[in-house]
Amino acid sequence: ATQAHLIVHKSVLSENVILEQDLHINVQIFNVGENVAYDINLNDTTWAPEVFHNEEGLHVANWEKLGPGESINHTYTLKPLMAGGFENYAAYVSYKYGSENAEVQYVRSTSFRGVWVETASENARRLAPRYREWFIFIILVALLSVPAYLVFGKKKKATTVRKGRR
Amino acid sequence: DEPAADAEVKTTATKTFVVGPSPHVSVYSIFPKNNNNKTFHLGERIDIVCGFANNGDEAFNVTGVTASLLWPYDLSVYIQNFTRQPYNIEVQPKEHISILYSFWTDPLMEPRDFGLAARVYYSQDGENGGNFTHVFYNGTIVFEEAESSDYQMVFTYIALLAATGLIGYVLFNQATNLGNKKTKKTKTERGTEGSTISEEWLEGTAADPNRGKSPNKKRPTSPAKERQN
Repeated sequence: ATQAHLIVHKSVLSENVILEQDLHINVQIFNVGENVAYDINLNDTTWAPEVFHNEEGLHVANWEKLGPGESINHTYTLKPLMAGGFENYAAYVSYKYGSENAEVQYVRSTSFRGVWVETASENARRLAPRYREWFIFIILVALLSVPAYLVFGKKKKATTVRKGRR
Repeated sequence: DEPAADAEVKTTATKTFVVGPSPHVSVYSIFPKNNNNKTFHLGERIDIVCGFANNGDEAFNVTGVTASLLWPYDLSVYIQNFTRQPYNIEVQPKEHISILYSFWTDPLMEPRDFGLAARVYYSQDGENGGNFTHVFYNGTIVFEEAESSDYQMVFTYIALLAATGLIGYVLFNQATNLGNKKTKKTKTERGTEGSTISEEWLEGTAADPNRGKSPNKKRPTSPAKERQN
């Protein structure tokens, strides 16, 4: 490629997407071409405003130029207002091959298939260390092993006595 | 009607055959993690993004992406084939798209350089259409030993300690049992049983336990016969 070529990667930085907690989105723009890209415009208006409130950063951004081998990292923060599964689509980036009156090229970013927003209690339940369950399990094992010990332990004693009598 | 139907089947068969790269498509690639750094930990997720540019006048449909790990000294040797990820992305004429492909390597592999070949599959309808494929990355990537977490190490040590304890307990139990048996043996009253007791004094009498057992054995002569001789 003798001209600029951009690759756009959109990803979720937050490990867990929780209701009313910050959700960080990162958009990386790489110039893998051999020339400078001019007038780069990012447009990621794919988040439904009634579900995802924009907390920090902008969904729309602009950069003057991006040299070959260089990259841009753009991060913005959302706050999910509803729990459940939501679709998300690719962001769009436009750029020009030249500084003036050049042809505009559009690039579609990578996209994740969907975002699952869970409530804080759901998340806590999913990631809990489950001490209570482990405690119940140990108690149950102990309860089962006591009668087993009583039965087998007595048998063993009886055989020893019989052997002694002989 | 029949020959016409046959011809249609043949055309379909030709279209499903993968023909190689289309001249109207150009591909690029990037490893987005750590700004295109090609060094990875074994077992971690590896992301590679394919840049797909449709330079033609007709739309293409991206159908899948796959990758293979190759032996760096002989690229015909396949070390690991990764799952083909299906896509159904329509790329309009003059449009450029980015496609993410993620895969996991075997954590037990040797940490060293490997060849990686990543391939995109796409198709086009129409007279000049068909199925196409394009290698968008063909190069070397470096693998390092996986970073083990502290929890893993602690758990490993506990498991080792538990295993050693269990083996020790089993061995100790067996040794104690053997010792008990041995002591019992020495204490048991066996009476006249066993070969250690001498039965020499019974020889020649009716109580001789060896009497009549070996016919070849010369019977001891009685004192009366001896007197006759």
